[in-house]
Amino acid sequence: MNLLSKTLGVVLAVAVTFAGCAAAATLAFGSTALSAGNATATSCGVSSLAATRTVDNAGSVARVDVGSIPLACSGETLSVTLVGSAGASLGSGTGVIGGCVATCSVSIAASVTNFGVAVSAANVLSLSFAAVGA
Amino acid sequence: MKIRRLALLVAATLGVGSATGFAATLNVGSWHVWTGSQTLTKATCTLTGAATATDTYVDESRTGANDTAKTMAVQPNTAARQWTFIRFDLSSCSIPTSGGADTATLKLDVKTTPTVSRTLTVTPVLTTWAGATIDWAPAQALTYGATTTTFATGTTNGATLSLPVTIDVDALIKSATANYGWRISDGGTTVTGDTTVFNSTEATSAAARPQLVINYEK
Repeated sequence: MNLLSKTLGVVLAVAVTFAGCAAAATLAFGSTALSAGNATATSCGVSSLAATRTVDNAGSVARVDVGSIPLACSGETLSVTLVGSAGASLGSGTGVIGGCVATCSVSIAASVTNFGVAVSAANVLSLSFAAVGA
Repeated sequence: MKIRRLALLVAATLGVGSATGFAATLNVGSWHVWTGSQTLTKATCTLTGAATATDTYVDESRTGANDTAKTMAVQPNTAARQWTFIRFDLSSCSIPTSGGADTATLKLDVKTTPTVSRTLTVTPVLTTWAGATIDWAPAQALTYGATTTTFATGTTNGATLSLPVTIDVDALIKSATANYGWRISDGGTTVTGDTTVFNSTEATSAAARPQLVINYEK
């Protein structure tokens, strides 16, 4: 009986240990740190991206275009954030990577759901990208 | 026997635990995730004067170029229409084609306003013209784009009007194609005192000359 109790104790300890590992993996997947870490290793081949944007006559961002995206990224989702001073987000938009020939591209038109309706291009100091896909 | 059974139980537990952990790892590895950023540099370029600007006006009622005139006129009168033409050489700004205009403003000084404010139209010119030779007839043969903007002249002599031309200048920067500037015209009804007179690049006062102010990113 003693032996059985001890053994069950060991079993429970082992089970808890591995449950902890699994939980840690799940938590890490959702964390920013692991996402960034894995991104470098398992991205669809992107090393850098550069966008161009069009404006309306008042100087508000009308569309953001991103080109030269590797073919392996086709069908994945690209999120673009317009970043202002002090790193403040001025608006974000998403688009599906497509239009692939030698490389792929994304065009994201400004709307209520993408970037908002009137982000002044003059206030955009940088762009942040996130490409995500299966 | 008991010990053997317990050992199997431990082994099974280990297996489940390992499988659970491995499955989570596979799930992470099966997604592509990449993040990055692009920093933009902001600057301003102001173009003015004969070195970067060419302007003139054409008159339906007579032939001959007006590129050395100190003023440029716009009026809608039948058989005597007057159109103003102006373009700037963007090359001195050295904006790369990967850049773009945040805002671009054409500033015109109104020497003499109409009696009542008029609405004028700014239209991009898509084919070449020379200030030294263009008059009414060749102006009819030019190709024009879609209207860029319209604006009110107001009735204050000497006022500086700021006309937004951001879309056109942004497109010029990105395409690096030849820049033929804009035509300014008045398509309204003819009335007495309907002429608008702008100071030109040849104006005596440098402050009164046309300007193109480009706030851009690269």
